[in-house]
Amino acid sequence: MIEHMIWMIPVLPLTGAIINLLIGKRLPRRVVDSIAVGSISLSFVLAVTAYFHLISLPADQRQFTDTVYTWIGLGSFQVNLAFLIDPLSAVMILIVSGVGSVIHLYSVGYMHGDKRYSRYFAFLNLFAFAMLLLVLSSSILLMFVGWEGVGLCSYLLIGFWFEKIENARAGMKAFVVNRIGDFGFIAGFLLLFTTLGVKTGIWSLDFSVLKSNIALVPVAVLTATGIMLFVGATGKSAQIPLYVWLPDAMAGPTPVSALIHAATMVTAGVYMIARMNFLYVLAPDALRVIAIVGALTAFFAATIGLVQNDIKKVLAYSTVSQLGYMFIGVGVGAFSAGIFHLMTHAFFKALLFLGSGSVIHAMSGEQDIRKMGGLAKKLPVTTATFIIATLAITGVPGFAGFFSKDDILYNAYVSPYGGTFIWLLGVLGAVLTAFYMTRLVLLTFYGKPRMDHHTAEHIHESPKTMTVPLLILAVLSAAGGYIGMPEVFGVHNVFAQFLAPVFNSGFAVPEGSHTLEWTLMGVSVLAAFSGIGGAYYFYAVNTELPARMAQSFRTAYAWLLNKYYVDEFYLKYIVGGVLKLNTILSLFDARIIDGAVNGAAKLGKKLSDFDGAFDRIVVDGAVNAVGDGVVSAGGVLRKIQTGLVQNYLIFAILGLALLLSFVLL
Amino acid sequence: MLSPISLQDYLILSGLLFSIGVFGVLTRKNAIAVLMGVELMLNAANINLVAFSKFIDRGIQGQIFALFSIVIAAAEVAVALAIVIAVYKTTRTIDLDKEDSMKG
Amino acid sequence: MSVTSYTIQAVFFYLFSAVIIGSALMVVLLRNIVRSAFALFFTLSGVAGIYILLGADFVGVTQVLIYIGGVLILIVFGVMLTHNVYSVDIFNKLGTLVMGTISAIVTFTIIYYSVKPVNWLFIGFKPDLPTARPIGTQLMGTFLLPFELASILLVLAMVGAAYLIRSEVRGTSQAGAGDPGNEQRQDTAGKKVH
Repeated sequence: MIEHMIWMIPVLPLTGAIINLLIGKRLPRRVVDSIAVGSISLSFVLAVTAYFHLISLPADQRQFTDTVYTWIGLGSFQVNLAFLIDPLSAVMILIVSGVGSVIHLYSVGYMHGDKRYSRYFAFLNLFAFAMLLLVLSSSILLMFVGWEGVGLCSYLLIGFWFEKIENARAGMKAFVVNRIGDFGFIAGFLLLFTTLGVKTGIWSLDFSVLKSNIALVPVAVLTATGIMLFVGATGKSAQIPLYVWLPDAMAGPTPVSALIHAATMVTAGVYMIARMNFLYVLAPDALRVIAIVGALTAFFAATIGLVQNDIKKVLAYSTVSQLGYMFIGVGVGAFSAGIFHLMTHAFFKALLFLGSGSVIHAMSGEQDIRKMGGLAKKLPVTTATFIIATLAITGVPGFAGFFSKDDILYNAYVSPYGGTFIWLLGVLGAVLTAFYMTRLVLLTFYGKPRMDHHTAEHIHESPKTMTVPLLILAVLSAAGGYIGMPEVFGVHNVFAQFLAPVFNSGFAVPEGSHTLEWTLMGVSVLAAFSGIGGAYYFYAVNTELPARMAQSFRTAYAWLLNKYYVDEFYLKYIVGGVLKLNTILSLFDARIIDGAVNGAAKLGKKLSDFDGAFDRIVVDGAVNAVGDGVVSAGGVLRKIQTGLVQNYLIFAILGLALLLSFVLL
Repeated sequence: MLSPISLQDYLILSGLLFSIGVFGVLTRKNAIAVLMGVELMLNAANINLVAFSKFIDRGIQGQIFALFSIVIAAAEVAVALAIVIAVYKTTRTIDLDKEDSMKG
Repeated sequence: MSVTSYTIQAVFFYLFSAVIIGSALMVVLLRNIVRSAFALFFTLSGVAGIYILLGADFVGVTQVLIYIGGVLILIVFGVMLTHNVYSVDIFNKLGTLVMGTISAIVTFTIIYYSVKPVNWLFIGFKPDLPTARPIGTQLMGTFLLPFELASILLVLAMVGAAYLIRSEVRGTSQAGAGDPGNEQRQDTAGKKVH
């Protein structure tokens, strides 16, 4: 039965969104949030049901499609409004609806008292709907609808407090940068569509059809398509060079940041690459590009994260960096490792953001970690959960992030598409991650309180609706990794096995020896602990050191603090370049074209002086005669226009009769 | 002894009714009387639909079409009367000879 | 079907046709618009009779319910709300009258000559079964989408009609637009000045 209820998973949040958008203002707040939280929770329940139905099937038949109706039918080309459940989309809907529900619940406490309460929940539901549509769709076109929907909702929610101009700008920036990526996405799938259609006559955008016919497409086209699709992914998933919108996206309410960063939106790109795995395994060059971009993003975003002082900015760059890891995973062909990290990251990043929201809530809106400190005593639940998330993201053995990150790094090392360079960047990124996360924890929760007296008095633990989600996510962050324990521990990798049917495209990451795996694992553990230890030394033992370091490496510090001036670079050279091109063109216009035009005009003036005489006498005479004729004819004909509808109708009917009589006679 | 009624007879009946409707629409001065003429024309069309349904339609699609037509006619009358009343309230008349603001 | 039943049908057909044509002529010719509306009642009833003669019992009943019960009542309301019944000559100028007559005759001629020579496909008489059930089934099945659209259309028409009236009430509230008696007095007063 659940096979035919899949459509309800995305439709439920959509319904909630519509209700709240239309009549939410008139409903009491309790009803508004019940509708929002209830609809997404029901989706989650359905997703769980679908998941259990899926695992009750034999491993090679774990796939079913719920076709609602034919959306576009043009001869043999059909696009169905159909939802596809296979292990990959099952994992994704569990993450999206599960983490999404928790964030909805948290929002009830966080947005308490906001004046656009119902609109907020409507947008949040709409966001969940778009993301569920994206992951459930069975064709690229429908996926693109979700893809754009996610972009729209991010714009709406990032600029939610649009009274402040920066917030509105951040929303706009996210939207525009995403549009650049979307262009790549559209170009990519249209290229694939037309090439396949022209070459073989199979016009389809359906994943299953594409999958079975992909080998008929030339490799060069596959590589081009793969890279264009990846451009789309860099936009949505904030990779170099289109990551700039994500840190600005912190302007939205904190639960929105959590939703964008953890459960939806940014994971869309990773999901899309994983979904198109059948294409990428045939286009190794595209995979290499993905892996390198991912590795560079993982490293550089982590370096920026080192010196940021805004609690949410640190987390934003950490998201960019962690997404880089996911792209390393999918880029080296280890799709299940990438999706595994996507899942664990969803848990701990949602937890980190919700924790930071709790901190900001307690600090009466303060986000600068230099003005925090010593919060551990006053916010016990927040602190404990935040530390668990930190341990998970840094990759301390036993926590969720450890297994997934290790899986990716191991695959990066042994895969033919990876290599030492990518692995090394990944490990360095891990050290930096450990460093900045520990720094964040130490500056926020420990040490001497640095906030002013007034704020300090108001610090209080958040309400139950906010702490319960934190606890749920903390459990998941701590234990979520065990479903993907690598085989080196003597167990089966349950997660990879579950996803294996989706990724069985005849591509295998070569087996490394167990010694190698243990060694690599040792290195990443060492990386994590060295980062933590370094940060502890800098920010707990020798607390003047950071300031002195910043002093002596002033240039490097400024570069990091200003995010490598990438925003300025884009503004100056890309936006500025377009403007400069405009200036050049307008100069060209003014000097050369206008000059030519003026010269021609002078010549023309001479000619026309002569012409004028001829004109006045001969031509004007003729024209006036014609004009007078028209005026008098108009005077007669105008009487037909009586302004009476019935007269017009008579003419219409007689005219029609005339036409019909030609047919009949 | 009368011969059985054929499709032609119904069509001619509806043609007559339609022409009378056209006459009403074209000659009446009162906007509401014009509306009545429109109703006659719509009824003529509906007779056609039902007659075709009886004689050359194997199902009852023609009747269903006639039902939709009736529904739309109802909507049309409601809106048209609203317009007539609105016009009346601005110009104080529904005499179509006086509604000549489109005069050229 | 027996010959007598054909005869009976023919008798009823001519009866209904006479009612329809006669009363339709009254609708378009009578000077008093209230009487026109009353004649329209007979036309619509006659058409309902034709429907039933054609074996379309459901459409016939709908005709009675919607046209006679709804549309006609609306028209009568419209007459009462807008017009001083006995004042204005309801025919147009003579020129229009002539042109309208010509148009109507031309229309009928064209219809007649396009209907008459055609050898219509005839699939035989169907038994006259009750149609309510198949119509209901098809409306909920094959024609579900048009059915839903029709309901939307009705809502829109209702809202639109209400809106058209309401905005005028607002605009001319001083003139006592809510009170037809008052309007009529003003109207006739205006006529006298002419």
